Amino acid sequence: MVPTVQVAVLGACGVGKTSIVRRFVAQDFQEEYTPTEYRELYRASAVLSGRLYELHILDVPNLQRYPATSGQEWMDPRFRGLRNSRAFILVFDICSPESFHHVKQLRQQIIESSSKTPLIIVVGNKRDQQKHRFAPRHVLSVLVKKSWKCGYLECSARSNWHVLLLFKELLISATSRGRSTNPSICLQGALHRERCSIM
Amino acid sequence: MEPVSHQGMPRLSWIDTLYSNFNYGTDGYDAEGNEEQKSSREGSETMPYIDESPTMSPQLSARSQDSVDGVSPTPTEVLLPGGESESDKGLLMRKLVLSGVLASEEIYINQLEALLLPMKPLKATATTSQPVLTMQQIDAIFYKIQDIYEIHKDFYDNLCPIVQQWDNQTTVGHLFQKLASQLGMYKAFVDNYKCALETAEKCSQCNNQFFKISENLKVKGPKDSKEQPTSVTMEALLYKPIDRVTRSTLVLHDLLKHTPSDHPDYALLQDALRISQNFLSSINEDIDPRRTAVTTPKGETRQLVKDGYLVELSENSRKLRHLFLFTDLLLCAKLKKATVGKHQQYDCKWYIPLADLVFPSPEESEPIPQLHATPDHEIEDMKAKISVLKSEIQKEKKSNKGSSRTIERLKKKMFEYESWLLLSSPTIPFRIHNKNGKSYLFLLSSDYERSEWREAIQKLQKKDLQAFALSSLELQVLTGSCFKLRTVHNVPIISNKDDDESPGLYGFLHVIVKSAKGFSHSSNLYCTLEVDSFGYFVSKAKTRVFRDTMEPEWNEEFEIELEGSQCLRILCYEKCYDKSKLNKDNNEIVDKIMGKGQIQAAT
Repeated sequence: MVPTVQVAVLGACGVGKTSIVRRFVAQDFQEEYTPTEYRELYRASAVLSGRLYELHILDVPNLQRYPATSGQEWMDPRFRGLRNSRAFILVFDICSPESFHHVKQLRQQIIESSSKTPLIIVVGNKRDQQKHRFAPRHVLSVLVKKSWKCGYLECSARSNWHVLLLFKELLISATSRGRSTNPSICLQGALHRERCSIM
Repeated sequence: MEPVSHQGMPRLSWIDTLYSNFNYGTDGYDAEGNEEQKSSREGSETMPYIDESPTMSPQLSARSQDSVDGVSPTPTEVLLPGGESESDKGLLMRKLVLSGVLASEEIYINQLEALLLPMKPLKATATTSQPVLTMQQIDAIFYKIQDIYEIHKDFYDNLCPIVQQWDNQTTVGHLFQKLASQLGMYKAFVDNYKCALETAEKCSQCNNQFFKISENLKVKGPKDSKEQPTSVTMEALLYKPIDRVTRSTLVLHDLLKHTPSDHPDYALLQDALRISQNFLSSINEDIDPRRTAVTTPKGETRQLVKDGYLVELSENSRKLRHLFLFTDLLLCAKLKKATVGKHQQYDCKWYIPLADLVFPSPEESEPIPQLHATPDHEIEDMKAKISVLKSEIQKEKKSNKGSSRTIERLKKKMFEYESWLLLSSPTIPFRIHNKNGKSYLFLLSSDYERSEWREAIQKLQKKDLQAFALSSLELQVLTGSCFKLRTVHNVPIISNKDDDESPGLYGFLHVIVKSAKGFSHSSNLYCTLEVDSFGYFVSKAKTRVFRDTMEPEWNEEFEIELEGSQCLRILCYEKCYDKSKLNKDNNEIVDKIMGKGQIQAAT
């Protein structure tokens, strides 16, 4: 079958998880906020350097705690399949320090409960609200990349900025994991290159 | 760093991933009852492709009934109340799944139609003095879309009447089978996808007329709905086939789930699923010329299974051929003489699709023309000559005085002798017959190899094969790939071997053939031993026949002379005493092989 990458999108309430996913798969954006109540699986196909991939993107409502064991995962049907994900997109709102803190906790919980180092990309959403951000980009970027060892990226689902880049990076990192021992290093390199080409 | 404006999509040509205007965004593996929510959001494009939860089926069926309302005269069993049996329910689900397939096919066809719509006028202007796009650009953007459209249109046109006049015994598997076998087209599409997008992107940037066309393609709504055509970008439409192909197995899984295993469709659908799965798992495979050549008519990858040098008897003379067994055909080729500055190439002599290939039994085929059994004494003479030459070469080498030219001359002579021996000594006939007429005859030196070829072919024939003919281009490509694909590189001739190559074993090998067991019925059994000399196998020893037994105990000892040997093969036969089958004159082995095996002697 076509190689499939399972991704879970996590983060605090109202940071724009569903918006990012919908922007990517369905090319739409809704201004008004509808909290996601159920777990939803999106399937998207993508072609990356001539190869066909399938992305299974799991969009779940905000969870207080990442399920540490499969038992916990099955307790709540909304989170089913979460622990099978090979990659995580942790979304925060660049205007909300609390959401960033939540992402920090989530990352810790994910790493503690997985046997392998999972692929994690931290994403600052709502880039269109640049003026209200709580911390400069480079501060967050350095913190995430250096001490959390995760990929970092900012995007805006509303203006469709860098959403595609996010999934492209994810796909590149997820498919090239065998080659690089440290996902964050390979991700950084890739990000750097792409940043040059877009700016 | 200015974020891209609100409405403008970031046109990033380096991104392969595409915006999807997706079809089946969500998948029904949700156990939760959020189906309602999903469908309302996705509108008309929702497809009940997967309906996992049994609790949902009444609701689902009600909905789907509406959608096909007026199209099909609803059969009575569809309206059965709750007490219906499991299988009836399954068959009902089958119809619903198929109606769903039909609806989604229609949407897909409409999308492809919309995409193809501007192609004709664009092509028409391409030849004028003011072309919108060049022919090359048009070909790049619309590559294979027409073919894909036709495949699906054909599928839809055939499926539509079946679903409308529904009968629980109706089979649709052959349609899915056909569709699956044509998936190969998508491979070409995927390979060209990036190029198509980039071309479309470039063209719309520098050509305002094309930009307007590509931003506003009209997709028709479903037939019975009064929906206005929706306007979609070309980019989004070009993505459709990509999205589509990865889902080609989903619907088959669904249909299979609701098809009882005794239904005539079951096997067909399973085959279609297998083909689709094969296709999807091979779609990303690098085109490795060593393993894959071209695709079979079924869209599977044609692979080289076995190859080797054989002597063919054709037009009354012995000729050295290289035989290639592919997944679905047998190709007989001749190595062309090397010309300076060119790679060696094969020349196709003939090929037979395995579907047409049969093995005639010895009785029904013509005997081998006597003329071609080389007299034993000639072969013995030649062997003697070769061994004289060999020792001469050794002597020359040792003395070191001998000019390399002398050695070259001797080697050349030996190569001639050996080639002659290689052509003349094989006597075991291996017959192949094409159902459409022609028969071919090979001569082998080893019965083990003959049975290996036969088994390999028969194993492939177990698969469901179809007859076909290769176009001259396909044949050329396939023959061209033979040189890279081949696993046997050299004719098994000693003078071909380099001195530093692993020389194999020399000397005498003592073999005791003791006993055998595990036969299912008692019979007359004997064994033969084959040993190779530089990869060329010849039968060297034969035990006596042990009559009427299930546990023969031969306890015979043999001394076999080895020369550059690597491998010992043992074959066990059931002796055939049927006089009518026996034909002693032409060395034919009519005895049935009961078992065989080989041992690596040199490691």
